[in-house]
Amino acid sequence: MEPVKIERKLIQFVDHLSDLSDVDSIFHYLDEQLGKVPGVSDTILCISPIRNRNVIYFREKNKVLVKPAQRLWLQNTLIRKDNIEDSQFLADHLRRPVGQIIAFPIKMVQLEKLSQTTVPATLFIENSVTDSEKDLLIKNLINYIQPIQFSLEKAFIQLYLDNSAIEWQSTFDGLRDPICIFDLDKNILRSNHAFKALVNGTEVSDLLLKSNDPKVQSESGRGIILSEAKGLSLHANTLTQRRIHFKDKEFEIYSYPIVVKDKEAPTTFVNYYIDITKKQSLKSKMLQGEKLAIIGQLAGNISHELNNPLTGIKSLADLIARDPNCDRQTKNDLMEISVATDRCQRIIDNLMMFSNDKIRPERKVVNLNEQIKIAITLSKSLLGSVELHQLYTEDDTSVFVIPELLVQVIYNLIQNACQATQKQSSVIKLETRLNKNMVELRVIDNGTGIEASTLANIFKPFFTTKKIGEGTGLGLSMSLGVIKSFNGRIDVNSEVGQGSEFVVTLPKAMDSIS
Amino acid sequence: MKKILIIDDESIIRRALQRAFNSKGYETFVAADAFMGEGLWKEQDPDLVIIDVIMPNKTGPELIAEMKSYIADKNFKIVLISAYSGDYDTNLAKYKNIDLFIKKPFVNIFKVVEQMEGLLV
Repeated sequence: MEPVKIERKLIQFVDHLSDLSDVDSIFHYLDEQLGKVPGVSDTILCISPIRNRNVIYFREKNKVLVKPAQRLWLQNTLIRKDNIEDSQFLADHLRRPVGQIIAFPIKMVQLEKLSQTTVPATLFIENSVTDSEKDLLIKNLINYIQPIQFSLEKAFIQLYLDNSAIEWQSTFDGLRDPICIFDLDKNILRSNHAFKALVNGTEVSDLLLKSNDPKVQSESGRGIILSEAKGLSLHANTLTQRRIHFKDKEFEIYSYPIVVKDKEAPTTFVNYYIDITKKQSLKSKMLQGEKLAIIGQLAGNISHELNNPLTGIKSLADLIARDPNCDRQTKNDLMEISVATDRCQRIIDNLMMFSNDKIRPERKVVNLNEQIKIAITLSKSLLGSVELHQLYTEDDTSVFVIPELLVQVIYNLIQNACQATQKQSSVIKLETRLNKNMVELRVIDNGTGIEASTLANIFKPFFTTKKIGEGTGLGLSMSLGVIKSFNGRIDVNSEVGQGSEFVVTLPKAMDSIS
Repeated sequence: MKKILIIDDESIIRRALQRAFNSKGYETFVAADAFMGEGLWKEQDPDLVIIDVIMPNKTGPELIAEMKSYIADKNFKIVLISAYSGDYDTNLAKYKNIDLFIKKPFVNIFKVVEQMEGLLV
């Protein structure tokens, strides 16, 4: 062929090849073009570009096949003619006898770092030329090798990048915590599945930057963020941390600026969200538990401290009142003192029941109905003329509790009901029933009822609507603490003027033990 | 006349008990702490000693132990009174061989005095 013609052909070849971006189409084209070169009967391409995935491309009849190579081809950088190892390698993989072979090793400088082979690709030309023509054939083909090398390398780098991107995204998506990358204009550049699931079509700007800060929302917002960002850029790893409520959940947000160039303000940020809803609720429960324990302890100490002087006051008043020299007026005054100290002592007794040193914290399986009866016996003096209706279920009402504490809670609820129903026709109903695996006690009164605004506070420690001296403000908060510690709850239904209903729900014994 | 020694750091308790026993014709002595109480005990040789559990410097049971070791055969009765009515105190009372243990608050001072008087018969 004339040199000009050869040159033109090569330019066409390179031109076309450069348009191809994947190995499959490159091989198809090579197979087609090299097949036109006189003496060439078959083209075979072996490659192991990334992670030693060795494959072999060849034509069988009219089809191009890609098969995994069982082993590596000869790792030799020299062009070889009829090398026995090459022939064996190809015969093994093509499953047919092979003719004369010229092997062109293809070096791929950029890929060497990624591929673990020294010769990541080799082009084998099966031919039928005589020995004397072989060098000419090599000389003709060698011009094609460099363009082939370039386009293969390009294709593999593209493949590598695609793989990396997929790998990166799947790692990103694999993380359970929401993550997103965004720019200063709050455009989300990338985010993982968890983030998408969290957002699910809703407005996200709150999740990105502090939108509640009016400065951020205004035009100057950008400036502030930029200056913030500039500050951050000095310490590339500086993170800011804040908390946010989003869709009934609480998140801790860790923001990291992404600094591409040193000393340049970051324009993108990574936000990492940790759902701390459960952690927070556990923490507040623990705090509540601690508070109750402290109040219990405090109540115990105060009770002990008050008992001493109260005993003295009452005893002395009683003694003087009996003195024959004491006049009637003084006697009556002293009786008042005695009655008042009695009341103080009852309050103290009430408090003492909740202090820990009297009660051994041993949970037992007991029958709720029986415990109610004990509490009623204790509250006889409270009930007085109140009409008491008792309606007990015949179902098993076993609960796993500290009996003394449960009795105290029931006593408290009865006491509250009594105090709410200070009228002629006071009725208090005590009902038990089994609701699936839960045992319920209802304490229902026809008393004054509770205002909605008060209802929100009744379980708070030291909250009381009773007259000074009548209530400690601890009864319900303590009761709730106790019932919660038995994995139960207390619900209230109340209507002003109609009365209130307190529902204590406890897990049935077998269920709470298991 | 029988002598009664009251050792309690709460002055109003001392006064109440003193008044109750005086009105019944007993001779009473009062001490606000164990140190003073021990001195009076040695000096007056009372028939009944009423001692509070928790007091500054020395507790009731500690004082009782000292009195017992000072002279074992002395014939006197001991009443321990306490605002701490837990099991611990009751056990302690039994352990130290006390004649009577009374919980504070007293429900009825007259009954308490009757119980204590019972020891002197």
